Amino acid sequence: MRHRWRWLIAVLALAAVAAAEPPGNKPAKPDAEYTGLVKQVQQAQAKASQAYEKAQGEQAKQKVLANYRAQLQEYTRRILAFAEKHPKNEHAFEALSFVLQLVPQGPEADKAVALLAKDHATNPDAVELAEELAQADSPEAETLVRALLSRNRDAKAQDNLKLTLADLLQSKAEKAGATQAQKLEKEVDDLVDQVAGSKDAVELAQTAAQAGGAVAEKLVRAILARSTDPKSKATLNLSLAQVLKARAEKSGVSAAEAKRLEEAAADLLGKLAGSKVADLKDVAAQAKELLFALHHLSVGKVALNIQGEDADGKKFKLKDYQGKVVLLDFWASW
Amino acid sequence: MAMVPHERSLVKKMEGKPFVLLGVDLDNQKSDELAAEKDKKITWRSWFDGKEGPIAKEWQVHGIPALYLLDSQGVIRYKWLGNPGGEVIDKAVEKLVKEAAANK
Repeated sequence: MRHRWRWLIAVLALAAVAAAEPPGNKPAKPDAEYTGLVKQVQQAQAKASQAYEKAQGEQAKQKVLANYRAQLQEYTRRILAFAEKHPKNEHAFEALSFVLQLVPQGPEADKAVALLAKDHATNPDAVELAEELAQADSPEAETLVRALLSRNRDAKAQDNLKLTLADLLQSKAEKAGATQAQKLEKEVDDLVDQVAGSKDAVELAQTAAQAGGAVAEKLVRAILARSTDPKSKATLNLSLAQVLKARAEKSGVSAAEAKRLEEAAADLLGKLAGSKVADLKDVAAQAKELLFALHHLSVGKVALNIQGEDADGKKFKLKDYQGKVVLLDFWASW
Repeated sequence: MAMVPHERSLVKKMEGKPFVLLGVDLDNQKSDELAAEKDKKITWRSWFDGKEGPIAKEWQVHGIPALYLLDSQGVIRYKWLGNPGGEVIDKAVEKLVKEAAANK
């Protein structure tokens, strides 16, 4: 059942590729072999989705999928052969990411990852691709991240790859048994520790904190533990408050835990918001804004009253609807 | 705007129940809102807030759609940045409407 799903996703993914055309490549010197293959895949996809729609009954639909799967395997093999033969071709990298999109796992995907590591490890787009795969929970993500880590020595790439790997291992640890989880967490801590020592650490922590998550929290705490400069410390405490607030808002968190996290965040923010140091003016302003959100815009808080006019100039307020469930929708016609 | 058809059916489904859908419109001009309401058959009321208006500023809304679901006591119970999908919204609304009836 799961397997079929995946192939169906590949069908849908292809539709997106067909719409987007090979991104970033001007038709200046298109390699006919590769562009020809892309076109063939697109045609096969279009035919397959039509046939799938038309097929009557589960069995017929399965047959369409099996047929499409076989075609796809053949095409991905040829795309892989192209990328292997012409590693310097302007389409080579794109070809390999295309393969990963078409077949998220299995021998073809393995091969694509191996070629990416061998021929494209220093391509900045490969780092981005690894991050995308990690976010999409791709089974190939960890292999690619580790391969790039060992081959791309660029400092920024190293930091980003380490954080991506830490995220992957952290979510693995959350699903693993106790012994395995301990081992994984240890590796996560080591990675976080390495990034915490990097020169861009504070900036990285700020970005990570906005997305939230356990690794972001670990990173912020690790940098905080080793920083002495008051401005960095204030910035990091703001990030820490953000992470705690995001954790409190996650679904599945118990009310008591959410309350504890919110209080910890409010405590940090209160101190930052009260700062009179000129150098920390921006941090104080952001802290005030977050504190306001925590008190008035968070789940569990009484909504602020809204007063204003509709487009016809008639006044009304949120309080007019007391006693009713209200769905408040911020929208625009653009 | 992609949510309008679903919202319309939600409003219809909830007719006569203690539920209301209210908008905060961030359009540049009132005429844009009025045109959209006519075009898309938007039957519910909206505050016209305008570009970088005071309501969006106070609620710290930086992108649309942003949705808040309040219970009958005026407490924020759900908050969605980005469209969570019709099913998720409906389920939450139904739960709170049931609660509202039980509280009476």
